Amino acid sequence: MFNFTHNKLSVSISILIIVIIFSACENACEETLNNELIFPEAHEINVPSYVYQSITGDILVHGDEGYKFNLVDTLPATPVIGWDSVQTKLIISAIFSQPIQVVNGRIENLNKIVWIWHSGLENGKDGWVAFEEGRNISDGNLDNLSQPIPLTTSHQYYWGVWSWDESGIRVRYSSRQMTFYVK
Amino acid sequence: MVAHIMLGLSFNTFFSMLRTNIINPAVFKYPLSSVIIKILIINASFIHVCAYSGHNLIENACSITQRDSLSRDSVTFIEVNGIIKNNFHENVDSVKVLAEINSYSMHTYSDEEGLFTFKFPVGSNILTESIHLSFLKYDYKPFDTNIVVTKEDFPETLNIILIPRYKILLKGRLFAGNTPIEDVDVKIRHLDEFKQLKTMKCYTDEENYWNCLYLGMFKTEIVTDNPEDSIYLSFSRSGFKPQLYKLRFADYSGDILKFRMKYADTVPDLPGSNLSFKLSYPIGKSSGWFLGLSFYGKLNNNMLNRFRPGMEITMSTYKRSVSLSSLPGASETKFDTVYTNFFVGPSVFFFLTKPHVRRFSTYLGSTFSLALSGGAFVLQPFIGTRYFIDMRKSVCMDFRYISYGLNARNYTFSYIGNAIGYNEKISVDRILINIGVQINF
Repeated sequence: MFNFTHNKLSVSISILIIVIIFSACENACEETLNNELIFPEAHEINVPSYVYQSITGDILVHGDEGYKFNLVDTLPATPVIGWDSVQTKLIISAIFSQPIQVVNGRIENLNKIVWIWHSGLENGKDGWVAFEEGRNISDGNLDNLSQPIPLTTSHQYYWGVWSWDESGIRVRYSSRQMTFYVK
Repeated sequence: MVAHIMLGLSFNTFFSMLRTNIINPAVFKYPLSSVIIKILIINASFIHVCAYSGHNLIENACSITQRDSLSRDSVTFIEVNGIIKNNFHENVDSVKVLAEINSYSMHTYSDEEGLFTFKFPVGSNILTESIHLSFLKYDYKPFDTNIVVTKEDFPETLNIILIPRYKILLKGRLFAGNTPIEDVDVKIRHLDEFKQLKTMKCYTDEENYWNCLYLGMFKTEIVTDNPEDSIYLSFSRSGFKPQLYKLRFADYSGDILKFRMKYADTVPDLPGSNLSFKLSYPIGKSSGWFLGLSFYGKLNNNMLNRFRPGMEITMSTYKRSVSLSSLPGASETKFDTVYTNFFVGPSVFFFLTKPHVRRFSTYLGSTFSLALSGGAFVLQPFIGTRYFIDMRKSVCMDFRYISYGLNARNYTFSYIGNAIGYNEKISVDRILINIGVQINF
């Protein structure tokens, strides 16, 4: 015989379990901020330590380890930028003459960008870009790109990589801000 | 001694005792036939003569349909015995044995062992008598024969073999689609025999279970002499087309025959209210789902019986795809946004055809709704048709036009971070094809 009380109790317990699962998911699924990244709401783009050859010999870039231990790499005026590829359509790597400032998900000091490479350019590939494959930028305008001029020596620079989701609306991946000194 | 006692009784009393088997042969020591004969010889005028079987369990029925004019001095009795079997050597009981001797006729029935017996009077001056015997039972073919007996007696036992008639248990089940239908009038005609049945309903069985095993079924027994006979079946029920089937007796294999009833062109006792649920699948590039839940009632006015006022709640989703210019040299991106809007308001429709038409009853109407977000007034005209799938449920399809405004979100790509968003007022104009179900009650 149909036991209404028992059935009602089962339904109530089921609803309670569903509510708990969803509330747990809501807490667990919240995007966590990573303040070490240039864009804290994004996922991390790893920059492993790497070595490349230049005219002066092998150059070591410490990547994320250098960020953690406050190491400043010394690089030539035409450095090579490397990172772990995230396989997205839209990605940018840029060198700043001053620390990168991000407010509300947007870079504030875009006029401090001295060099840029993005996935719309013909040369370079996601994860490994030589300085010559990027462009100089004027007034922060992507339409005013020119052949890159080597960086000024005896000057400290900052670089980073960020990438968008498929729609291009939100920055989905971001690296830490790397610092290097041009000898 | 008993005979002397009996002489003191009136003849009527005595024979009534004989009819009711009060006189048991086991107690009545004297041979019964001789006693009767003696009595009859003493005074045989105006006597009811009754055959007595001599078996306790035999239900004998005997009569003399005509009173004879035999003289009291010239009557004697002859007893005829027999056994009735069928061609499978089984004893056949309850066979009516009809005997006709000149102007006399009498009948008796065979007992459980197939035995029968009867006695009849003959004149003493007649040496032989011809008797016509008929053996009748519904399940068996009638059998007639003549025997000739002498005045002395008929010492032999008759052996009668009856041939069974053909018999079937005709079973059938009636469906509407795949659903068995109860309470269908089933008329069965075989030769001059008519039977009227109804298909079965569910019922509570002896074990207190709700039993629908025989829902929509009927069965009846039909007997015939000729297997080439035809059986005519006719089915009728309100809301269905009457149907007639014919089958040969010999063609029936014993299976449950399945018959499918077809719905009539109109729905009887059409209820006025209906609850409908409509759905529109997103077809096309910039489209979305549409859901509608509506209730309509009937006006208590015969002049307005084609109008159905009611309420409707609808939901419309609108999927918008926008292309976005991104990095120079890179391909455009695209983002999709789904906007959901709810509307509620009064609705009315008018049947262009008669509402109780089963197929394609067409209607025209409109919902005067209010958008729950924004509060704008939205008119939703529609034209549609419905098709009854049974007595209460129908499927409906309608074309609906809906036009409403919404605040859409647009974006501009920015290479220095998240895209710049802004709102834009857009208008949604859609012609929907709704498919729905309607429950009429």
